[in-house]
Amino acid sequence: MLSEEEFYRMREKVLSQWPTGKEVNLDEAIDYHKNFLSQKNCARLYKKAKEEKIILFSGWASVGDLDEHIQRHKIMEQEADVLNTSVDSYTRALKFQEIQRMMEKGKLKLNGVPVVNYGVRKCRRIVEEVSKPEHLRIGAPDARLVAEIGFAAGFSGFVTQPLGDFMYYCRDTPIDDVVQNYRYVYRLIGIYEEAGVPIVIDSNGLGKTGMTM
Amino acid sequence: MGYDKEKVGTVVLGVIGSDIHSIGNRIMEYALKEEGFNVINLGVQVPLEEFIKAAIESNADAILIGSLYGHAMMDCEGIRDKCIEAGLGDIILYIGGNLTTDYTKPWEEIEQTFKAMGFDRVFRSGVLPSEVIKVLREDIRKRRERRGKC
Repeated sequence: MLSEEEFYRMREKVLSQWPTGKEVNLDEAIDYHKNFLSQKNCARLYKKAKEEKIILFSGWASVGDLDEHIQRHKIMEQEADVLNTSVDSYTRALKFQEIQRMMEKGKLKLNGVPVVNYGVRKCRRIVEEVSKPEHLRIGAPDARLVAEIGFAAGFSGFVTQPLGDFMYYCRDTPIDDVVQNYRYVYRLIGIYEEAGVPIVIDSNGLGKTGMTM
Repeated sequence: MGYDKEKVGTVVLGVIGSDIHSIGNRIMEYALKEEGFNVINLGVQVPLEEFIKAAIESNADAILIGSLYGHAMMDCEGIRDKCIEAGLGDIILYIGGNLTTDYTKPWEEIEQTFKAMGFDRVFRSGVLPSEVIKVLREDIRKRRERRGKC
């Protein structure tokens, strides 16, 4: 169990992991989802598809450069019902400093979007410029700050799985830490849900490639 | 298995950086061991410094790096200089896999970039272990000749 008190104590530390953590304001983020993204919500889309027995098409491509990333999603939105944004491998390992160094050097050649380094405001460009709901994909022992920034930036789906992530993405993180980190993520999802913003937890997911690596 | 492992060659093997792709790594380990090599397999998510430390500790002939996730260029920055600093100046350096996120880049350009970083050989994703092992034997033999050990 992760008590509410523990969650908020943890949260202070989580949001201070990188300066963009300051951009997260839960109340504002919930309003943002409700006012601007009610038609671009993964959970509502899935619910509707299930009720109407419709098969959805999911598109997936991610690169580090934000313009290029959005450009790819704008191509996919023509065919897909839902789109997937992967978080790059350095962010998954909390190597924000290294990404910062690379950003200063020029165009980012990463295998996904470094949502933490970009922060809430920049990442909102994705959900605003793309017409379909956006899922955030991450396999990592600690996805807490990514979840905070990602949800505040308008992502309404989270593809992740604590046990799978522990087995495939951890070299030296104890399972207790991984479990606690995901309790945090799930509680955060619960807070959004309670406020009327459903966020999908996709445990197995389309092409959860960690299982076959 | 009847081989003199040290004589065949000692290699440090691993997947660099934050990469977790382990299948190719295990296939290479198996193939190298079958051919009688002494294999120090560091597995996945290996920092560059760990490859170098393991090579010093095991007196390795070669470091074989795998990378499937596109960040190899960043992960291997300064590799030859770091080897020189550690006294491993002439160690054989190989790399293979999906080495960049830029799929439009011609292979020759990718190969050239990694050779300029100090790699002796650069392999495409999907290369057969036997092709690597064939040239590895030859490179180890030449290195030992240069060092006057054989």
